[in-house]
Amino acid sequence: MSRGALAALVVLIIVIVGLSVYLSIGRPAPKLQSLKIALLYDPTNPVLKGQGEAAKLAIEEINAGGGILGVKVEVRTWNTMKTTEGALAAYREAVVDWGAQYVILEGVSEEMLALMEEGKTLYPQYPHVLMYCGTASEVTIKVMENYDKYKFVFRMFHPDYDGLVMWPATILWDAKNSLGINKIAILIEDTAGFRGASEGLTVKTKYGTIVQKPVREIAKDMGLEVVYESKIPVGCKEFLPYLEAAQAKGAEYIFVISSWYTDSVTLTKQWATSTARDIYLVLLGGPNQWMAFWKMTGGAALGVLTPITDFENYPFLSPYAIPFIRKMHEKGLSVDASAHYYYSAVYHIKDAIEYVHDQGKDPNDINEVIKALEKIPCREHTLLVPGQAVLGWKENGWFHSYPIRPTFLYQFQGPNQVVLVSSPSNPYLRAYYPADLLQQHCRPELVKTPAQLRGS
Amino acid sequence: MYELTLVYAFLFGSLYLSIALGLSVIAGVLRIFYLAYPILFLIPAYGTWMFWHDLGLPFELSVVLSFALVFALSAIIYRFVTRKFLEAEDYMLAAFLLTFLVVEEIINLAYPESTGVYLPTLLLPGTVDVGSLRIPGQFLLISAVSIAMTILYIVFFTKTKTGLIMRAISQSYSVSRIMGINFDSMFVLAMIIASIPPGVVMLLLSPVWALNPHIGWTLFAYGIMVAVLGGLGNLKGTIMAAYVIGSIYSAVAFALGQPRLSGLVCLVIVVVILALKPRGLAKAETIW
Repeated sequence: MSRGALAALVVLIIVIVGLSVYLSIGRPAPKLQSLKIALLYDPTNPVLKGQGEAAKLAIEEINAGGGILGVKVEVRTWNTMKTTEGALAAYREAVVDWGAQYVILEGVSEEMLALMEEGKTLYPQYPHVLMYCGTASEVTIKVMENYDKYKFVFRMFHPDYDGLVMWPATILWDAKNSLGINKIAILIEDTAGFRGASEGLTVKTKYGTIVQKPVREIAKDMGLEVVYESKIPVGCKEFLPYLEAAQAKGAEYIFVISSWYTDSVTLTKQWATSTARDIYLVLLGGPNQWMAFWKMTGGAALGVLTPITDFENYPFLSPYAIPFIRKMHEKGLSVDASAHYYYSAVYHIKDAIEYVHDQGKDPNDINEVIKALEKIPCREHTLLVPGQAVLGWKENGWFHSYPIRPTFLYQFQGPNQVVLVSSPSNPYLRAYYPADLLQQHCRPELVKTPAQLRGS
Repeated sequence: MYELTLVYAFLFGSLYLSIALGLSVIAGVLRIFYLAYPILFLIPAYGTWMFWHDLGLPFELSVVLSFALVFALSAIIYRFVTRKFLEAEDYMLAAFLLTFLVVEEIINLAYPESTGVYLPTLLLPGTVDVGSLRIPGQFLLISAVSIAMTILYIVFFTKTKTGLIMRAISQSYSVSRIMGINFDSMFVLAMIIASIPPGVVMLLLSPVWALNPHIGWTLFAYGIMVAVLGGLGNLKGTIMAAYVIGSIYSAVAFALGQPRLSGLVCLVIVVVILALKPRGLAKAETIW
């Protein structure tokens, strides 16, 4: 090689290396242009209003702290009127007319499934992220089966096939080992989200097979005898036949797989005046997760066992939980598990956008944000420990959903008086929570029978 | 189990009767389908709460005032809706429905479910032993009150002059008009007396049913089913229909052990009966 050619080659290499360094380091990362979050819910419904306000609270806090990458979050709410048509119209308007990059729906699974179908046609022209905190397994299964079409969909909650195994297992372990129960009755809300709890579920996905045991099988595995099982219809007001049947079959424990679609207030009121009132009543989802449940039932909740996430003495692992609950209470709002997730969802968006920016990529690029949401945990989640607040794990059917956390069980023992009665020895809790925290908060010895509580 | 089936047929039947009584009276006397009927459940409950909890009045006085509020509202609805649209039924139905929706929304705004509105009307807590059976006390009380109200209605319509006039109106609107009956006062009175059973049953039900701003719809649905099966506007038919539905519900829930199917079976049987007897169980054209 001649000297001239060698010099030219060296110059060329220097230019290429220099250009590369300039492009990768020297060039500033793209700035976030704007950030619009649309909240779709029915504000006349106190549950959905609470969840919507939780998301708004997170946005207020973020904006008060300077926004995301210096950009204030714009927020607009749409009233879905709790209908699929209303949710669809709101969704189109939010994405197409307003230009929302992030849409958070609070509603039922039927609404979400309809929005997903609409969204897959909108996404190529209007890239955005659609989030939801419901349970129906189809939401996650669709994403796993058809990622390219539904990659913009995230369920900021655990899948039902996960929750309805872990929660019953955690609760029934205590029933058997802490309360000494042998015979139980199971009542299951008759909705699509709870079909697996009643009939079981086996779904093959590209990430493995999802298997959900029916609750009765979980109970049997615990050594419990299921003496009565029935589905309860949505809108049911006559719970006495179910309660009478449970009592007649000798149940010592009535486990109700409920959500907001079960009128757990009426159920509790009728239980408290029925022949079954000496049997433990255990509720899963619904207003029973609120401290206000005591007032709503006029004290009929005395003795009811339920998960509660509205209580400031909950053994939260996250330092963000109690300040969040206090702020919600200051607004006169109750906090169910979903409200925690809606609040945290906004922070997960923030974390993902900031991560994209930190990587030197374009934070306006929704595809990059989706990848970030799949990759990084939510640092500020109020219920999940940081290592678990992840949306990208593919095992156990968790993809684009959070993994489950086991729930604590409380007992209403008076006005504003609840006792955490889960056992610190519960293996499901021990696998998730530190032993010293369980020892500090769990008081299974304080649980009382409904008859004892009425007599005290 | 058969004893339990019979007892619950009575309890459910009496409950449905108390829910539908007022609707039947309005339909029988005024010959209208009162779509604002759910208001009559909501106002006594939330009115009592407002006077008692928010304004600090004694509970008993609050109950009285809430009923006064219902009576006043019934008179206002008659004056500005019923009378105005008596000859234009479609407008009247729409106006009734809108009135109800407005009231419901106001209540939902003031007292959303999370407020925890609760009335201390649990008068018979726990269970009552009847022979070898244990019966929920409050439901037994509701049944007793339901039967008492029905008897009072029957006495009123058969033994009092005002009741006879209302039956006359119910029998023939035009002939009664020729006889010089004061329709306005009779209609207002009918709407007022019809508002008592829903209010009473709502107060007694609140310890055993969730009290929320949307409860009116649920109760109205029960009321429609019973009143229509009974032959809209006939008390005998309403009584029969209430216990027929209560018996079916109880039989499916207890004797067959399928409470999940009770509601569906009731609806199917009501549809079949109406297909065979389109005017309901009672053949009479009048309120009694």
